[in-house]
Amino acid sequence: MTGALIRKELRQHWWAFLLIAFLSMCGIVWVLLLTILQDQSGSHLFALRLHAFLLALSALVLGNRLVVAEYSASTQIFLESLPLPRLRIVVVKYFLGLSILLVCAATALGAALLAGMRTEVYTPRFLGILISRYLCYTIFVYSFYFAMGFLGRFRFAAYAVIAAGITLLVKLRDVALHELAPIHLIGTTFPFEREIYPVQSLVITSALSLAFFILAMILAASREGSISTLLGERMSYRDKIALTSLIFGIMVAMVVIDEVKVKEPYAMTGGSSAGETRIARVTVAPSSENARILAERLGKDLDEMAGFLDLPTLPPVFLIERTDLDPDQMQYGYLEQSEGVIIRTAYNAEGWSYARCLEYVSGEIIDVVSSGRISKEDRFWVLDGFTLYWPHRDRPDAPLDKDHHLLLRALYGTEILGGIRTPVDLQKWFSHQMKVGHEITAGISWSMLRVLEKEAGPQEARNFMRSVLAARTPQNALTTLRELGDPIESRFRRHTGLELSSFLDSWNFELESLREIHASELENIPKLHADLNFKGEAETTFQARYRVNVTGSGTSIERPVLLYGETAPFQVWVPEELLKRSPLTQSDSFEGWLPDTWGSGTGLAWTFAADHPTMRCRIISGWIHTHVP
Amino acid sequence: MSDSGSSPPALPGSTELKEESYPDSPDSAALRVTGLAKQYGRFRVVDGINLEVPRGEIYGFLGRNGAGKTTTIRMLMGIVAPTSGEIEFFGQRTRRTTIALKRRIGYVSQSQHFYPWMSAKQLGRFVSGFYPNWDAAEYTRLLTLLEVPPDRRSSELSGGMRMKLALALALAHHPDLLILDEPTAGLDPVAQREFLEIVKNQSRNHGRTTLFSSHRIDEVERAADKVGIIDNGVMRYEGELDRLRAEVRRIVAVTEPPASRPDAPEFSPGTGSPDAVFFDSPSKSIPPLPPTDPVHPLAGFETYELLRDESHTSQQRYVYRCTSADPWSEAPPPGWKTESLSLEDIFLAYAGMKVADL
Repeated sequence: MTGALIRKELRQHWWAFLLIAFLSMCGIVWVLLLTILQDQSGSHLFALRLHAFLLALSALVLGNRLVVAEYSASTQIFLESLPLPRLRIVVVKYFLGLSILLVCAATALGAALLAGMRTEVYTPRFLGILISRYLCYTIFVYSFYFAMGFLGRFRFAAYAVIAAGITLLVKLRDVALHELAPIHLIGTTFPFEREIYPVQSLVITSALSLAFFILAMILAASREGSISTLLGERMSYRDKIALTSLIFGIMVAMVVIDEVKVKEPYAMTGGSSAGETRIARVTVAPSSENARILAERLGKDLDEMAGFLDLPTLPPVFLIERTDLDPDQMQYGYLEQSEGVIIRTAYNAEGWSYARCLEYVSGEIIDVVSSGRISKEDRFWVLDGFTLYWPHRDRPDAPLDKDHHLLLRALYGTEILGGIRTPVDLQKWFSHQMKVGHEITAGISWSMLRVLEKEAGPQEARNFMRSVLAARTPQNALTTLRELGDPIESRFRRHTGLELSSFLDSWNFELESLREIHASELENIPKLHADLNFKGEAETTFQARYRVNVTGSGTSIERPVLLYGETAPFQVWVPEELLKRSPLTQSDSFEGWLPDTWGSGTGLAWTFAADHPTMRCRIISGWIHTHVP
Repeated sequence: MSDSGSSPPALPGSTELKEESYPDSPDSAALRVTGLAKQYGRFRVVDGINLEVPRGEIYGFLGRNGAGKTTTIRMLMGIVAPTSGEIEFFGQRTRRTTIALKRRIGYVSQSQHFYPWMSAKQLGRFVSGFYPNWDAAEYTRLLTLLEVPPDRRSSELSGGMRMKLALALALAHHPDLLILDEPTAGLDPVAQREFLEIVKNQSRNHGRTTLFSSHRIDEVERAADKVGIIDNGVMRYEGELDRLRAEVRRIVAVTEPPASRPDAPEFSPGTGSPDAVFFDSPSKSIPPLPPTDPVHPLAGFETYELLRDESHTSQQRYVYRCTSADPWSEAPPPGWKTESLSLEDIFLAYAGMKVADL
């Protein structure tokens, strides 16, 4: 009886079983390949985590074929008419699929263990931990998809609800999913835990597997199988509409939850704090008198900024000293689970600038407040300018020349960029940053905000800045839709009473009149040029030879340096912390080799940069994104 | 009669039958059902029915769509558990049909849900795994006899072919009892006739006991020895066909309707008839017969059952069943006449169908 059923299943689903075997083989080849290529993740067994994903995929296919295919075709009615207990049909299907999946898992595990024999030391305990984790996970994923199969056409709804539930759990309770069973079993500790059995995860996962198995049995047997038969019917249009509505409803719920969700402020022990009773809460570490003064000063300035922008709250700021950084370097620390801005900088180093720190901190705070939406290219110019506008705030009628170095940045930048004349030019802000550097573009938009203050009035300019910078908007589709209906140009018009294009004309006119006044000074600002050529060192490794020159150098540049870093696919920027610096000896024209070598096809972003003392900022030759041949 | 009186012999090496083994009672009916009921929530689909299928006979299980035939058969096959009642196969009482008993039954369901990728040959091979006394040669013979192409996929077979294939699968293990659930539904007239002939031959030549359900009176009349009429989950009649025909008659007024005779005396058909049973409307009294015969017309009946009141039509008519000698059959009351009914009319009377007298 059982044999006949097994033979039938094997014959009916042979291609699905072959597909699963093929997937498993791919996984095993992957495991072996990583072993041969000396995976850098620390253990050859790490590759099994990819295989675990393939196992989940295989379990989905198995559950779909063994259960859904039977019930959607109503062929279980034929089986039930035979002298065969209903539950035996389900049990045979369950154990047949599970056996196939366990064979795949065991084969992959065996291959990985064999492949790692040269480098890993296997103790019986370590093997026991590995095997129990992997097989327990395998049984769970199979049991889950097997049970879901009995929900028939509603399994997609079940998947959506489960996914939503997990997302809710993660979002609302800040649960680290990878630390929870059953994901924990194949988590980051999987290939490394040699001594301690993850008993709790194993028990929870086993209990879940058993629960899903029982659920499958209940669904198969309840009301003489009529429930699973009904669920197994194909989706009607009404079902499809209901499912779509459910998924849409879940998405909307996610958006709403995302809106109401408030992250807990980041808590840091140690350091000097200031501003506990104010809007801005600043902590500077390590604790010292200097740190306390800095925290006080920064807290006061940020408080004023919050008042200017009408921000009722600000995320807490943590300034951590990193003595290995250059004085002009600021590194941003990302906080996933809590709210706050962490910045690493060498605030005790000689040449460190408080103004630059305030520029950086204010920009990051506003970015966090806007949930990253201020970083959209069409509005980034406002933030860029505000980071200079705020530290250098002055009377509205004060001449631009009062901040001479900032004016020079604006004049120099617009000259290199060939002018910013239309609102479309403002929407290419990141391209401008790539060409002249963010300190120069900040100077450009600083001048815009200053001219706006004069043209529209200080309160109007402030209202516009508030509307762009102080909107606490969540990062989701609804916000995108809202913003599509209220673009920057209309906000500009609404708050300032000016058309953006006519304002740009006025601003350009003022800038041109100032350009004439500072023409000779501008001529003395050097322009940097550089190119990079790759030369093969071996068959697949290359070294880069740079050639740089500086033109129009009436004034000298300081600290010339080649900045470069590898980029991932579709990545344009290199994060500050991953950026490499190759200092150059100061000269008008020189060339040399970069100290690194790269493999063929590596993405590389690089620029020649130097400090300009008059403008008090870095000028660059322009970021180039290239690939090693 | 054939081998229906004994248990099928276990094949050498078969262990499956060891699970359950039932000694057979040769004198017992092939199937006897007592008080069988099935309830889904508040809805009683089958309401305590009794039926008995004698060995070697063909039993026609007649009822309208939704009357409860399929549910009854699914309970007999152990696919659905009864809410209450008992089933007795070959003298062995059981609450629910066991695997061992199912192996003695050949079952053809109302609609065939074969694996579409399986051919008749592959289906035979698959099904053989569940019947220790599967006869592969008999299966091949049946396929040939029924003209079912053995190598064609079941999805490529016509409805009639699929039904024949189901019959071949049901017969190839030499079942003691054949249960067919509306086997001819959806078949063309030729295929229906062919199918019925096969069933009759099985009974005639092999003594195969058969229970088949249908809503078609003609085929039950043609094939069945005994009939059970189920309506709304209730067994309305169970017995020999000839007896049913003799017992159920119609009495028809040959004069004008009683509405024009307000002076006519009223009487209840139950009066003086202690065994009287009323189904359609127990409180309803038969309108008066012509006043020329004031004698109580029901006085001579021992048992009387009003099946159908057609007095709403222009011509007063009543269908009644008398299980004793019917005094009206020879001498109906003056102004009235009695007539015999076809099985179809009897079925319609039981099924409570309303037909306007045009």
